[in-house]
Amino acid sequence: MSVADIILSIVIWVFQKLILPVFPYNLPGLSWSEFAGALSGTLKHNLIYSFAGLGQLFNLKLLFILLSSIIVGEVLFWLIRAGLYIAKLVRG
Amino acid sequence: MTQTTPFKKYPVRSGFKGLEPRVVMGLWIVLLIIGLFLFSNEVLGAIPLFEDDFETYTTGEDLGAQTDWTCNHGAGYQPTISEDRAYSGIKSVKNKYADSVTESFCYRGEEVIATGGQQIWFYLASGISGNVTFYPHEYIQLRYNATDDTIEYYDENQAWQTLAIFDEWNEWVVFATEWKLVGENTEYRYSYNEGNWTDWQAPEVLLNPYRIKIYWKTKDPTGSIYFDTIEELPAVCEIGTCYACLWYGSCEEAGCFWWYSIYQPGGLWSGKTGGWCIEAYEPDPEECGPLWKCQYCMTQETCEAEYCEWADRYGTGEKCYTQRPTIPPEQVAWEVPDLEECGALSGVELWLCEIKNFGAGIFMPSQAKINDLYYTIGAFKDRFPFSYAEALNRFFTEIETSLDEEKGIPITILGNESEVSFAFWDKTTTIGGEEETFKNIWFDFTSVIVILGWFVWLISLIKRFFK
Repeated sequence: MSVADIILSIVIWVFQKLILPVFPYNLPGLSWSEFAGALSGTLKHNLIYSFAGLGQLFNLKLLFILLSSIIVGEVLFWLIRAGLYIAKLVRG
Repeated sequence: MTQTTPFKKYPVRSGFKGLEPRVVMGLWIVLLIIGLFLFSNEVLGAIPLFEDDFETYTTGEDLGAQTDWTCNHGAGYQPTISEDRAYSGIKSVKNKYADSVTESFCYRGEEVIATGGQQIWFYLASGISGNVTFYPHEYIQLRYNATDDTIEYYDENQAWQTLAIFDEWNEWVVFATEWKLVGENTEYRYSYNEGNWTDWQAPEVLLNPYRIKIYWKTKDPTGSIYFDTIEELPAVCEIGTCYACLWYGSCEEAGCFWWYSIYQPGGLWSGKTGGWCIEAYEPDPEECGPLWKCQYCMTQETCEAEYCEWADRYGTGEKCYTQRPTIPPEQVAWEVPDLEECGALSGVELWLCEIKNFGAGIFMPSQAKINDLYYTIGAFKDRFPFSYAEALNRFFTEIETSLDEEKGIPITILGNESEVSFAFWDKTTTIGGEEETFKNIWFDFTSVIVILGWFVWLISLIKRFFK
């Protein structure tokens, strides 16, 4: 066993025993299968079938990408605000 | 009128507290026997809940004199127990001319069963002049109509419909009815002399067939009408009566379709995902989907495309089942580079080569360790938040891809269905010397508006951030 193997063994052990168990498979109240199922099942089909007709009138792809960026942007904004607020609380 | 069946949870285990172990064992054995009995009921066929072949009654006595029976005429004018003929055994019930203009009837009450049926055997002598009606409920009636010698049933609109022509004089024939609970309503159907069943009659009411009742005209002479062997049967688990299948295995074995839904088959909200056995069902391919929609995926390909599992879980053949999918970690094996070949060298060059290989060997990880590291890091893909982000990413990708498709907009005008015509899209005009279609112009125009709207949001976000 090389030195590199020993170092890798330690890294793998840390990942497997200390870090990986912290991350859950499912969120309480919203399991992954429910989340993924709702997205790729009902929600996806409803969106596609509801808006496919409007593809004749608008550039839906552009609209969708911009709406997605707004959603992501707002989430990031509020996460950053929350982080700053917590930092402010900690600093006093 | 509605009826609800109160269900109450009893703490079964706590009920055993304080009991002798032998008593507890005895209770389990009794429960096991009851369970086996119920199981055999469903698998081996219907055992009558109630049967009356009149063999235990005293010949010559009035039917109304028997404990369970009630007749509308007084003593001496009621039908009697007879040994003239019988469908089973030696006894049946014979009508008696009552010298009255009113119809005669006799009935006996039975337990209400939500799904099941009743049947009775009649013997009608040729030449009878009045109707003979089998009458489990005001809505559920099957009769011989003397006016035109037909068998008629009472449909969901409370109107008589012809089921068959009657010419089975002087022989035993069976009148049968079945009913089932669908949501909060009862549906029922009829069969005459073991022929085909009628369609289900659905009057959208809850019925409780609670008794066995027989009507006939009194002016027919004594001995012209007999009846025998009345049975009340639970529904049998088979195609046509799939609703009677109580569990997945029996439903599938009967060739029915086990349906998972938060709704009961009648559309009533059940409050939780449950399974019901419905008639054989060919789902539309578009119904196939993940989770509870896995049941609608009929091929392995479509099943596995929706994160379902194609398997034979219950020995009833391969079908599509709901599965919590696992995302396998991406296993990109890193190829460990080979050490330098020193065989062709000599002298100092050979020494240097071997020293270099020795040094590299110390810090060169093995292929197995590199693979372990990849697997370990790949396992994060299966955990929150990476798995959720991946699902979201796939969702957006699929939406983005699918939105490229253009679908017609259906419209209905005065009952005529059509689609909005976009033929004018392709009309062209000249802008700045360039030929442009109206579609492109309109698209560009709306795209600019959308982008302007997005910039407004972006500016507001920046302003909020620095506020």
